[in-house]
Amino acid sequence: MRRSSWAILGAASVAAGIYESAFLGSAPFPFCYLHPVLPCCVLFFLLNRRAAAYATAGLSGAVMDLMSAGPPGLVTVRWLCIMLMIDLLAEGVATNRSLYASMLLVGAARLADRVLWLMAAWSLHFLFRLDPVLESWARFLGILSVDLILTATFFVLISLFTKRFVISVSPRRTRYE
Amino acid sequence: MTRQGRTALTVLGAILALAVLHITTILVPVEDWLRSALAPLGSAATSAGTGLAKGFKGRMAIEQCNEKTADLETRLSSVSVDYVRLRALEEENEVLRKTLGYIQREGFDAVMARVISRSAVPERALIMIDRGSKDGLETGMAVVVGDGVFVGKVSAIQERTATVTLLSDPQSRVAVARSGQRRLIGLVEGRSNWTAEVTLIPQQEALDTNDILVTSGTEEKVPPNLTVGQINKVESQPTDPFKQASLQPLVPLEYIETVAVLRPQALRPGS
Repeated sequence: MRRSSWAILGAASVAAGIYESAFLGSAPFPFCYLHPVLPCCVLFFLLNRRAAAYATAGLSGAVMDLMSAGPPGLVTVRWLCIMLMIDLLAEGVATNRSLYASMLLVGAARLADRVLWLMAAWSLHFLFRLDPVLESWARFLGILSVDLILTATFFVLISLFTKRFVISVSPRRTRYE
Repeated sequence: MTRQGRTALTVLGAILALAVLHITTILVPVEDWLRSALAPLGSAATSAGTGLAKGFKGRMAIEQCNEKTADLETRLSSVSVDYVRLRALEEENEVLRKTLGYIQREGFDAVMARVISRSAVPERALIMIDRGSKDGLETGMAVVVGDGVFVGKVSAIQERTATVTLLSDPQSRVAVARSGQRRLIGLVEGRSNWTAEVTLIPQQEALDTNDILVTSGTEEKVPPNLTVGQINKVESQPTDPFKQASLQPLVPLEYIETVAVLRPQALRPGS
């Protein structure tokens, strides 16, 4: 990636972190279910921009940790761990770049985030007597649904306007070659 | 070593380095500076979210509007009676003060602050403000809006920012008295979803709907007579030692954008 791309990515990551930490707390329905960082990071993996995915997760997570009014949620650590997991899944399990694979990866990322948040909450409770209240499962399902819709939309848009996910086969070759 | 192994090592190393630097407080000044630098952006985002929420809430159904109007009219009539009585008392008080040469010294001054973020988990009512220990703020100080309507207390403090626990947060506890009386009558506990409840009210305490509750002044850093809210409904079982009541905050806590922290004058920087 070029330097200018990195600069844009950095600014966008900070903006996304601010959006998730400051805007979402007061935003009404349906905006309060729109958490764009994880789906965007997964799309970076699908576009073979691994470094961009890690950078976005790290930077947005750090802004979230700095600016969140709630008790510490260790967002940077959670999201970097999720990126590691998605990296492994994208290389070894959901290897094709299809719509279903992208939705599977986003679903896995959101579920892993919830599990890691639960673990962080337990650790914070036992180690520091802090009680971070987790969002309800109903809200979690709402966020997951919006994630899947967002991913599908991005995927279709990328497929329509670029040739990133198009599988091209030479017309000279037969189907068995 | 594989590419993924190298990435995993790098990421884990970064996490470990961050954790060590944070725990040893080496990172704290940097974090504080970054928080301060991002505060204008946070404030703008919070303001935008609040504006959007207000806009969405503005689109109420006609039935809801009628219901709300009827409710407000009932309250207005009840408050009007209180207002007339209070005006008379105020005039009397003014005359008495002049007579006695009374000098009012509350001993608190206000530090204005902007809300730079809100808890994204709807069950919690926490806000972050752009003032901190550098401005003389301390944990436990009262936070008010408008003409001294109490909305919460400072619960965590950094150098340039602070976290405020609003009175509707499940972990918030505020000692209250009835308006005009300094006697403690109960405890306001947050119940999330921007509501609160008054608990531990002795059975013999006569408390009615629309009564105004104020801070009791029993907490060291919270001055007395700050308006906390209005009683919505009193619930009492004759077998229970205490009764409880639901409390409606006088300002919409979800839309707060600017607050004032009441600082004892002794803690004012330079005093």
